[in-house]
Amino acid sequence: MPLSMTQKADFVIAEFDTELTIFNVREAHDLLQAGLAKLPSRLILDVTALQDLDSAGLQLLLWTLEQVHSPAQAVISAGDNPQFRRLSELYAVQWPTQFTSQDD
Amino acid sequence: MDMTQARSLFIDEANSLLADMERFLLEIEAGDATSAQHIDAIFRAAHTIKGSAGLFGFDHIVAFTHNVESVLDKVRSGQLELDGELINLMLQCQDHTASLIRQLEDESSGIDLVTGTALIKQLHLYLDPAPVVIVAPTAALTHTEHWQLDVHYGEDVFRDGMDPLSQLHYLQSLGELKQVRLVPHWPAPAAFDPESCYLQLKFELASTATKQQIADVFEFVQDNSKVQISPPNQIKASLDALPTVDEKLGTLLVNAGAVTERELQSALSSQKEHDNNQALGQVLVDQGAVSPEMVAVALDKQKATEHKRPADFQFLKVEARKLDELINLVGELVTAGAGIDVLVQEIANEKLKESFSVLTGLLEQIRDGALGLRMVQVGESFSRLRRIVRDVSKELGKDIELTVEGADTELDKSMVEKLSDPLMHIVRNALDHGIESKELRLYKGKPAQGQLKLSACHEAGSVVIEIADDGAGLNIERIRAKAIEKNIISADQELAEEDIYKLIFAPGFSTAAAVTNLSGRGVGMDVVKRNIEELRGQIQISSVPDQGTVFRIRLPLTLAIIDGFLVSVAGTHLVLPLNMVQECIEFQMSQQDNERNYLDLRGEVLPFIRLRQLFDLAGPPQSRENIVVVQYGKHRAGLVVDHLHGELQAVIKPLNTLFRSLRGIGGYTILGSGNVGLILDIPQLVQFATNLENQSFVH
Repeated sequence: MPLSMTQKADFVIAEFDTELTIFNVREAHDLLQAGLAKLPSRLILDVTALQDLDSAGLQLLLWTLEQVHSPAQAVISAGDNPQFRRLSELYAVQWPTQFTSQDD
Repeated sequence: MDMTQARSLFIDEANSLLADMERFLLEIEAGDATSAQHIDAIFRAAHTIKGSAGLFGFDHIVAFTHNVESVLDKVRSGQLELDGELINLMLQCQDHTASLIRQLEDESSGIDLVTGTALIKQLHLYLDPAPVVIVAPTAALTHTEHWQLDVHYGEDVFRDGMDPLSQLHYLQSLGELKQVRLVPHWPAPAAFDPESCYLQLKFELASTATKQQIADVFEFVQDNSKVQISPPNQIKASLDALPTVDEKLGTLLVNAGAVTERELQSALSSQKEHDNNQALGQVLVDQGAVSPEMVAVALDKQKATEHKRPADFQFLKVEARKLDELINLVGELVTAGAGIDVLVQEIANEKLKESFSVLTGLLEQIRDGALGLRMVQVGESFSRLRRIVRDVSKELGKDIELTVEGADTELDKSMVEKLSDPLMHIVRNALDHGIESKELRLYKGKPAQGQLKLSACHEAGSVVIEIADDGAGLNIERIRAKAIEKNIISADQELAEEDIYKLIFAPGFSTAAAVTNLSGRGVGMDVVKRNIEELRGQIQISSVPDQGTVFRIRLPLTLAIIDGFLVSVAGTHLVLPLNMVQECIEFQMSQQDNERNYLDLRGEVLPFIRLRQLFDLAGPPQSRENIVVVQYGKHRAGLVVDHLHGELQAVIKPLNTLFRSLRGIGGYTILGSGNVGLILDIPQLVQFATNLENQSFVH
């Protein structure tokens, strides 16, 4: 499984496994869609364990963030994942990493 | 210079400028050149005519050309596009200006105010700024100091195993990535497919790599993605720094590294596929291959080349009369030289002979040089025909493609001028009667578009001009029936196919109505043939039903001086054009059958003519006679003569009208001895010999 979804209070955490590539984006997408169907108010995409990420995987992360509509919020939790950081720098993508204060 | 001379110069110059204007407009319309290439010259033509007309007080010409010039100026500044409609209007304006110029020569003809007014109204529609808006394409790229890349990936990129990431990685090895922007183009939520790519990447690359090297990075995604690579300013500078060479726009841009070969080919294909007249530079800009500024720099480069041309090929305008005088003098020099040659041979002094030989060599060079001055490209006549084909095919509603080959073949100027009307008549005939209507062509299984080919080439000392169409071909039965009806031949007369075709040249063959409709000049095909024969030329026809007709005109290179071969019969000197002489052999009467005028020449039947009999020359045949074998086109024949005297230069003088009807004589020349030499019309003699022999076989 490319990811696992857990609910904690009003958070939904999508915890990705080591790989998010063209080979498993469809499965990951289906799982994320199922999680989003529950309309969480806060979504955390946890990519700290990701080792293998390609552009299809990155596109899925972007798409997922796009699907979470206000007032719900979504952030990325990457920790110190060098792989994820390099790719983000290459594409110059700025990820949301913190929920905005008024919703806290 | 008096006013009459100046006025005449103005008319000459205006006609020449109008001819250029017409040629350039037709080239743009046909897609052979871009508007950017020719607009300056077209504008200059209108501007110069206006300016010069003002000097002479031809205010009506100034008023008309001012409007033309104003519209052209808008095209020049990029405010108007020279599209098909505007080209058509400009051609009509060119016609009208030509008619105004003609009116100066023939003041008895009035000025066509109706046409002029209508044209000015149409021109004003273009001068009114409201309806014309030219919008720069949104995709147009601008210059920075780095390469600018815009890659809109195709949806299948991920599925095809490609990853934009790897391309970015590779580009990092070529330089530094800057200003990267990832722009997703999301579909509707329900349509999102995670395996499809919705990404667009925009970024700059600071690199010394060439455009080709950068383009190669995207080689595997190019087919289903849109890749735009805009060159940095540095390339603009290198384009500027390129030496001024006579290159096409695409080649210039490729050489400067602004456009890749693939981008150029793609733009050319697009231009061809869409069959539009859009300039190549604009297509490249629309495709995002290059910025408009870069195209402008390349076009400036081209213009610089064009402006440089006059320095490379300087022309001097000389009155035709002066050239004719020079050639006459050279002719006299040749005749005087021949006289001295006779004396030199008599004196038999070796040193004198040697000196005279050098002088003769130089004289031949002067002769060729002087004759060369009058040589012009036959394409001048072809250009006029291009307009005829365009206008007549439009009028008839036929789709006809004109192909021109060998337009650079040179011919004496006087011949080119005299050739214009016959060519025009043959071409109009081909358009009107030769090439069928679109519907009929399709019914016959032919392509809807008819083909007309004009070609010119040198062949055995002659110029051969062919007018070939792929139309219905000549109908032998109908020609024959009409010739019988018009009493041109009798009903029981047997004729070979080639001779039946020739009947269309018979006087009175064409009906008066047909003449008017076809030529518009009141000349029939008999006049065409006569004009060509007056140029010492010949016209032949070949035709295949439903495949087309070919008119083949063969003309001598020049009308003035030729290298000849002198022979004599019964004391009469005869000159043959040397380039038609193949060989000389002894003619043995004893071995000859008197009944037949042919001999066996190494296994080949060679018809011959006894010139003594043909010209009814007195005196018995010599004990030894000679045969000069001559060739004209595909036909060969022998001419029986008494003596062979050798080569000479012959200045051709025309026969007095009283002797024009003489068969087989094309003119005369003065020999070195002061005697008159008659110049034989070999084509006519060969034809005569061939017919004579054919008839003897038939009977």
